Amino acid sequence: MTISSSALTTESSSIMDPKASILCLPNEILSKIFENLPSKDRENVGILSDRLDDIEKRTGCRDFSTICFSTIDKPEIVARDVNANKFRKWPSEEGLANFFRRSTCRSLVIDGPLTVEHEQCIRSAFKSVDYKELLVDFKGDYSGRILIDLLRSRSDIEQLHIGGSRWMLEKEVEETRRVLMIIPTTRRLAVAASEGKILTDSILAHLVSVSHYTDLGGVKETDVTVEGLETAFEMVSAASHYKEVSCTVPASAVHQFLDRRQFSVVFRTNLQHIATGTKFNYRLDRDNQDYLYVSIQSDKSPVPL
Amino acid sequence: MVLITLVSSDEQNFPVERELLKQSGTIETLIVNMNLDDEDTDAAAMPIPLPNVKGDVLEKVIQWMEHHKGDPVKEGDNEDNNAEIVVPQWDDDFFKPAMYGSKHLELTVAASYLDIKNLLTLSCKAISNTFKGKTGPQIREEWGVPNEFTPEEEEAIRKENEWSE
Repeated sequence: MTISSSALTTESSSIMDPKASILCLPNEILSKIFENLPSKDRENVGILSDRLDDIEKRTGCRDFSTICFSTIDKPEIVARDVNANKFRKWPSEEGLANFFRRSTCRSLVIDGPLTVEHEQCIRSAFKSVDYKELLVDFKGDYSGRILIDLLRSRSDIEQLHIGGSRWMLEKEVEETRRVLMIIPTTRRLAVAASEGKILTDSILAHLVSVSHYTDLGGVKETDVTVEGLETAFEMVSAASHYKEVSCTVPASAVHQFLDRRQFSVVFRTNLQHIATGTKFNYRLDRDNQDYLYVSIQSDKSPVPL
Repeated sequence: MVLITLVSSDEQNFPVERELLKQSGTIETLIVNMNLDDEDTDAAAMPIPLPNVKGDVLEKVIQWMEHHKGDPVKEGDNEDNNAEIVVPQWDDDFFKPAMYGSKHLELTVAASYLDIKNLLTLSCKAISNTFKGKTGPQIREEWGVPNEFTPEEEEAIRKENEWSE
């Protein structure tokens, strides 16, 4: 008894001509070959023939150090590969999704005011990009939606940096709060220079729970209460690994908090909680004396970044 | 030791240890579907034809599988694209004599057809390595890529693709 040879015959796999050139390889194999090449070499191979050019463009799987989508001067995407070669793409360009498909990068940066067209472009270009750090500037209505989109299905990001230096409309504050509440596990989180009251007790608790290093010092005014500060303090103290959080808190809440717990003074306003060893530091916000800048650090050894 | 006979496109028979064939997704699927692992089945009496692989290529594939017997077999296509693939010295020496020739390409196609993921990955990586740092004309010559463009067309394509700075 024998197995029919048709059981193992496929159209795409035919016996090769003994004088075959690399062009005799099927597209899927050529694509795998491109995946292993640095960008410059890929470019050199891609321009050898129309077919190789087409496969190279469709392959994706590029390795970048940074990809920056910026609308500051004009909308463009500037990506740098690991060898510091610089690549430019324009949001209107076709094939962006293929170009960045399954690519990896250290930092993905979204900078400048965004429109609904940019939102679509970012969604399509970066949906399969694997990044370690995400830096997003909050400017315009679409930043929040884009951030939610980029964070969707991400379970672990090393660093998330949310910027935005301008006064915020009430609806933007609401949008930002919504975004902050869905931030996934992030090793280091920083919210920089926001003038909106985006921080509440529940948001602070969520951010401390998902991040080892939570830097919210850029948020000028907050609605954090003494209860919120206590919750954050307890979370840092009880964490099994090192945690650190800094944020701006109304001065009255800080004073109430200090009245409720026993600290030893290490130096001036550098305190240490007697029961847990957790460090607590506060200082005046020079720009706004109603607020204190607070820092809480657990007594575990910091994990190197 | 259970042996299963593979038959190449040029009708050569290769009795192969059952254990080795676990590296080939294509053959493994066939063995399972045909119940060749069943104790009541005389596996040796049921040769598996491989109409897309020539004898000399199949011999190389078996040689590679013998060396990699017991290696973990990759499953699925979810490779870590960020991971740097290094071709081990033994594999480099294995691929080198046939590199730049149709034999290596046939081996790569066979790895794809037989779904031997580790062999395909290493073989593709070995080809990729030959491109590194080479100019277009060098690659053309080494890998037999005919120039289908006039010098003017080539220059235009280069300019069109030259978006890197």
